[in-house]
Amino acid sequence: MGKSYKQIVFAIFMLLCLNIGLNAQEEQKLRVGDQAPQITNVKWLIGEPVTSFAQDKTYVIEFGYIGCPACNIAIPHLSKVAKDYAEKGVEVISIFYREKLANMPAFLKSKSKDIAYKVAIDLESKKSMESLWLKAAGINYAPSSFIVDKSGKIAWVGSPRKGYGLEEALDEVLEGKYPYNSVINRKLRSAYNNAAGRMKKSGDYVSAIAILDSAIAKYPDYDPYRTIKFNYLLDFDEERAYVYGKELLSNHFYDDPTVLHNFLSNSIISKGESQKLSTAYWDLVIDLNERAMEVNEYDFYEISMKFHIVKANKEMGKLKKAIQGLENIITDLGDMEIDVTQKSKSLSYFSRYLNKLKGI
Amino acid sequence: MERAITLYIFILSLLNSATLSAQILEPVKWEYSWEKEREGNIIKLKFTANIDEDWYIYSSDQDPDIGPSPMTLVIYDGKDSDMEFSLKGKFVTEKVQEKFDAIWMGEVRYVEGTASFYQLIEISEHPVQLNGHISYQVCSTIDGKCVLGEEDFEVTISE
Repeated sequence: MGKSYKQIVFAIFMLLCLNIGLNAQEEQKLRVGDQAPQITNVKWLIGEPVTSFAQDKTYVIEFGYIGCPACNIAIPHLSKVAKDYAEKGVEVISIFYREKLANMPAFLKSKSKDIAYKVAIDLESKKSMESLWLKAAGINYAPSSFIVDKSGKIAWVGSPRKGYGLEEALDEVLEGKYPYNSVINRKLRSAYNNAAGRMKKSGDYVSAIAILDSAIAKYPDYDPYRTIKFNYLLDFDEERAYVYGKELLSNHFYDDPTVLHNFLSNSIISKGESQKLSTAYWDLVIDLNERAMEVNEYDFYEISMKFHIVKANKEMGKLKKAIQGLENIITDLGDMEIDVTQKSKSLSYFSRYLNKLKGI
Repeated sequence: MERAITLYIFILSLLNSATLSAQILEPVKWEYSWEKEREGNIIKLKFTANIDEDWYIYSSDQDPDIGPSPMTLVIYDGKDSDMEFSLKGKFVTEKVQEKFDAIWMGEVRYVEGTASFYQLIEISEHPVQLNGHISYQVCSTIDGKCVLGEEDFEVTISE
């Protein structure tokens, strides 16, 4: 009793504080609890059009564009949410905005295996979806998502990515509750982020890492803390970064090719552009990408994973191996059934890199 | 230790509640200026982006068909005629980094930290006022979220 009472007081207190923040923003017209705007001025590209929100349904409406990395990374997660919550009457809709219609067919074709929800594109008229939803809610970044409850009201706004509280919020909304756990957790998560960032900026890495460690203990499903910690360690304690990278590879991200390749391996490669890294790191790049390839389902991702291995071999002075790897990539790419222009651009990129390796 | 950190975070989140609930992200601050080139009536219009840590900006030579939006410069036509100035060469990004990005299966070109851009312009009549805007895409290296932004500018070029 005492504990739950304390929790409620804490929650109310937090909500009050958050409200003060919300009220301080005069420009924000669309808030949680408001009637959701309509889906209008769009062209539907996947699924039956949704012209009005049905009374018995709950909607997740995501906003993004092709050129944003996190929007692409969110796709498999949104599909999982669409499948997991279909029986509970949840429908997932993705709205592409600031996007050319002509770019959509090739993009959707490349993601046809991934997207298991409805897709529409904002036609950018005066009453664009961007202005009705995002600008009205005071949001200027992507991706973001809204939950519209059974009464057609906005119940939650947040990131559509895995580990950012979308499911937690959906569970609460489906029970007819205000998703305060999800909201408070989101605020606390970003407070940890900000605190760690501030400590790092002031040069106090030890505290930054300590904050991230307690954040990881509190939010074990929120992946960014681990990748941030890895990045911070790369900056100040190479040896610990290596050990931590190994640990992440064999435990938390063992089955996650996106994090292994796009975040961990990528961080090392970026770091290697500006400073000399020890051989151990390049070995780690090879290990990360070899595991990523084992669990990866897409040919085109595999090309990029192999390319990281080529770069690692090059950095370790194994030039022959690097050249051989790159030649294999060029052969694989030639055989792939992808957009012709995309293929020729990629081939020309890799050929230029090959010439550089060969010293031509 | 654990408790102390949680308490610290909690207090910080209260103090910060106003900024935390703000949804408008501004990871880049812009400055612009111009200078005379050595020869002819050519000036260099320069834009400098001071980008927050853990963010990057896509360069002006980013291929727009790959995915991310390149940095672009638009200068509106002069009031009286379009003879007052003419652009010389491309809109240039300095110190571009490149990588092959698995997300779009293509080359992406970007700058981290402080990014410098310039456009050479031949001025045929002084003084001339240049109005226009730049548009850009910045993204976070930490979680991949992005901001598409625009910034207006207005400069008077005198002899």
